[in-house]
Amino acid sequence: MPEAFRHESRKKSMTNKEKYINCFTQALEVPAEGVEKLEYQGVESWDSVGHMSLVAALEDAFGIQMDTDDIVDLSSFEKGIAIMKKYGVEI
Amino acid sequence: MGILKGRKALITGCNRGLGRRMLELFASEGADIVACSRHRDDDYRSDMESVVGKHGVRIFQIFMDLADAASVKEALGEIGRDHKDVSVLVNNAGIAFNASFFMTPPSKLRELFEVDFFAQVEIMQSVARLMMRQGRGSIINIASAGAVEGGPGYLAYGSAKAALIYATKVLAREAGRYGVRANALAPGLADTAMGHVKPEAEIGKVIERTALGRMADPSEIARCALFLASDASSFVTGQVLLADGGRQAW
Ligand SMILES: NC(=O)c1ccc[n+]([C@@H]2O[C@H](COP(=O)([O-])OP(=O)(O)OC[C@H]3O[C@@H](n4cnc5c(N)ncnc54)[C@H](OP(=O)(O)O)[C@@H]3O)[C@@H](O)[C@H]2O)c1
Repeated sequence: MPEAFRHESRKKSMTNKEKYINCFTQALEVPAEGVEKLEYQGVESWDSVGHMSLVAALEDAFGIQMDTDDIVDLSSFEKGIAIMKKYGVEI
Repeated sequence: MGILKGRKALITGCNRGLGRRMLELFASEGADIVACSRHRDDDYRSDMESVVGKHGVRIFQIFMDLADAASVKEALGEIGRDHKDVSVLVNNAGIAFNASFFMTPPSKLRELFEVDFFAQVEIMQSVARLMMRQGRGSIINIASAGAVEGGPGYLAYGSAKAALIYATKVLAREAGRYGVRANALAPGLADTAMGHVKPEAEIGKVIERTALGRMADPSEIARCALFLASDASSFVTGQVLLADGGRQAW
């Protein structure tokens, strides 16, 4: 698996919120502080490439498959919480 | 020879024509196949079983109608769930339509784009993401020589296939860094049902313009797809492989 898609959010003991945060910190290589305020293209690493790593991380962490429309809509940490809800994942 | 051993190849339009020939060739080279078609029937099922028996590979049957967005979505869900390891995609299924520019109704234009372009892009978007996560993959979009040369009578078909070529190049650029290749294969006239859609006189004219002076046998196109699918083409991406018997060699 390419480096960009490697992450460790599947740990069973984590809450959904912890897993969700982990996806951002690992896929985008950002610290956990301030992660709630993250927006697409708001940091250098959340470019279109980082976006695909983030999507892969979320899909693996929650065992879901995101539709293209939702991938496009995933514009912020906050927005992602609403999108996860559509897949039955409560953050 | 087994040059696709250990690979899982998804091919659309597997039940007949070029797709059926690719399925057999890829299976003979050791690939497991995710075989997509739109109709379930006993003949098809037993045909697939015969390929399994002959080549000792696995075939997973998936049904999707490219003209039906819900059916495509459902099939892609199944692929994403059960076939995360797919590393070859051949977007082969397609429809043709022959009418002059002024005799092409918008509804036909939409239908052709739905099947020959939109659905194919959706499949690419889903499957390329699976491949990017594996760090490898080869996507082959079956375009048409007609899309490259342009010509009267093919507004809908030619435009949709030309769009498919463009999408192939964009994908090649964006997915290349993840080890995923994307190429278009553009056949000239091939001896399948679609190859005989034109009136005989028209077919004659095309053959006249073809350096080799004949139609392609489907196996000749399938071998080009095999080249693009396999590591024999590991440094080839974003290309259009014209397998047209020298129609554009002038
Ligand atoms: N033959 C040629 O001369 C030629 C030349 C250039 C390019 N091509 C391209 O090569 C590809 C294969 O063509 P072919 O010659 O093998 O044509 P074909 O013999 O007419 O077979 C077409 C295949 O596409 C499938 N298909 C059509 N509409 C579909 C839909 N809505 N949903 C799912 N599957 C659908 C068909 O399934 P059904 O059996 O269910 O209809 C069939 O398996 C096409 O993309 C075509 O444009 C062919």
